[in-house]
Amino acid sequence: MRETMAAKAVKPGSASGSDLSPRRTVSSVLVHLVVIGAAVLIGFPFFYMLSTSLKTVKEVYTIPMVILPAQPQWRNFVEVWNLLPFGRFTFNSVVYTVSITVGEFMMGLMAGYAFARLRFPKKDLIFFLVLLTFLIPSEITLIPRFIMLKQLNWINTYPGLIVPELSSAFATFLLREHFQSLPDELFDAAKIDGAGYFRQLMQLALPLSKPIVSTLLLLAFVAHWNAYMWPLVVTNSQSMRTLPIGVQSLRDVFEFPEWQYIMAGATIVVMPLVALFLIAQKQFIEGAVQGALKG
Amino acid sequence: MTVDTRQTQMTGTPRWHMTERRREYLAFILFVMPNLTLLIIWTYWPFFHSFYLSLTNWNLLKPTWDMVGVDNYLRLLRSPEFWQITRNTLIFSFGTVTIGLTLSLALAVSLNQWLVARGFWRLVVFSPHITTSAAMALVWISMYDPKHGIFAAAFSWLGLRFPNVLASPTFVLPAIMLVAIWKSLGFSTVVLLAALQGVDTTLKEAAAIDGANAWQIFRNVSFPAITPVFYFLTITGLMTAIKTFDIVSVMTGGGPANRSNMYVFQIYREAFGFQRMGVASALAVIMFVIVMLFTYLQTRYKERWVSY
Repeated sequence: MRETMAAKAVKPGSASGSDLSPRRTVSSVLVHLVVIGAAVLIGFPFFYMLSTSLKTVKEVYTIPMVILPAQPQWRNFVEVWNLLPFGRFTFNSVVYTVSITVGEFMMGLMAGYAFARLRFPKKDLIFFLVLLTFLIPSEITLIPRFIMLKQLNWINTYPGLIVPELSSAFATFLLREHFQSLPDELFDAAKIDGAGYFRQLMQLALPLSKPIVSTLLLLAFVAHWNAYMWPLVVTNSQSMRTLPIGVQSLRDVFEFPEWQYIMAGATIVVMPLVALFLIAQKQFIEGAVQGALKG
Repeated sequence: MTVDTRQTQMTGTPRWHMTERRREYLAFILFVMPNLTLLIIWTYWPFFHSFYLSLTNWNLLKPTWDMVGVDNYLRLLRSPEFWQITRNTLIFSFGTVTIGLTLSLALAVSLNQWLVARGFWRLVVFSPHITTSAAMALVWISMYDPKHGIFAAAFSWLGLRFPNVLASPTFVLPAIMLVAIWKSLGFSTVVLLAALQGVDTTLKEAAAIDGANAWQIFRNVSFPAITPVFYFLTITGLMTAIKTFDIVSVMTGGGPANRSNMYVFQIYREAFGFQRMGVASALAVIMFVIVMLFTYLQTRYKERWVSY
């Protein structure tokens, strides 16, 4: 709807500027050239990654560069998968990403609901305490967290990777705002029906929150799938590495970098996100916009 | 107080009201506790512990440690390495944000015009934002390859030689800045586009009727309306840029000769390379102070805009 509004807005402006259509056509062509040029440049690294991942070693090292492989080498993906424990990396990435995404969401869901709809003495002060953690960058908590994990013997373990990341101020904040916006009457009715708070949350509030829930889950999934510093610090063995870190060892396997394998590895890391993005692009873009315009 | 009366009126009996309230309190505690406990243990405590650690010579390789006061800070402030890293971080942050936002604005304005398949272009432009920095950094290393990369190919086509940018003290910082701009461009473009689409169309129409040209409309109507968003993107962009780690770690390891080293990578190296937890913590505290400064600017500005 917004787009049609914007499209309408452009027309009267340019029409009143001049009714000579050649000028408008020229500027429209220019705009198209700018946008298409930018999109080609921005999309190029993806093309480069895919194209290189399907080349032979010979093609990778040919000068001048070969843009497209003569014959796509799909087995590069099979080979790279066996070259390093990619199955293990993927498994770790999935365990890490899914448990934090879900755990963080559950924490935020319950806390957000409580802050929005339940009474408690000094509730706002407690909420403020949660909100303040927004201001604490993860870089400053990194070293003490590492020392704590060491004392707990949690280095290189799943609990060490997951537990410290489970809490979330962001999800709490957004869900609280959302639950506050729901009409009181709904909850009053549920209370009269004798629904407990947990049931009110799961059966009443949650089903009414699908858009924000899917946005939150998607953003969290992407953020944790892409996480680099935390899993790098917490893990120290090949068998515990997540994909973004595991893939880096491809550079140490060969004497000269065999880019076709490294690019195939990078593709494996990025592919699930690209698929997710293509399926749910609207939520991603709206999530980004909402976060920014609200903030 | 008002809530209490409503409760009594609703239920009638004070006894039931007490247990009902207790039930509500209990639910609140159960719902908030898990999150709050984790935040206290894994965010608040480490946060304060960092300040404490920054005053010690804690080293994971040594069995004992002492309080050293502000020695770590003094050592940092006196070392040329620290100033080199500060300089890199600031050039990188202000450079990527200035160039990135200028390009984003131009792109957002273009995307706001009548376009064939606008949704598709927006999708492509946004896509780097959701991809894994550490993986895409590998792609950029490959593209920057001085012999076999795309840049080398393009340069040789023009009859020029492409330098080994990632090993060059001069070009390494611009090279990783380009990667950061590529990664962040889509996000700010999409946000600016949404802001532009939210600009009141009647204002633009009125300006057009008064004879304003496209540039004047943009300069005097659209841009002022989106300045809060633009400011927000500047501040958050700076905060993200200051905390850059993945690209540095994967692409350059801070080199050559610290020319691409930045705060977070140095924190990482001090702590997990040299095991000097005290110095690393002091550096983390300094970075925190800088980030807080930006946060302060952001809130201050926001207040000013509320009255607008």
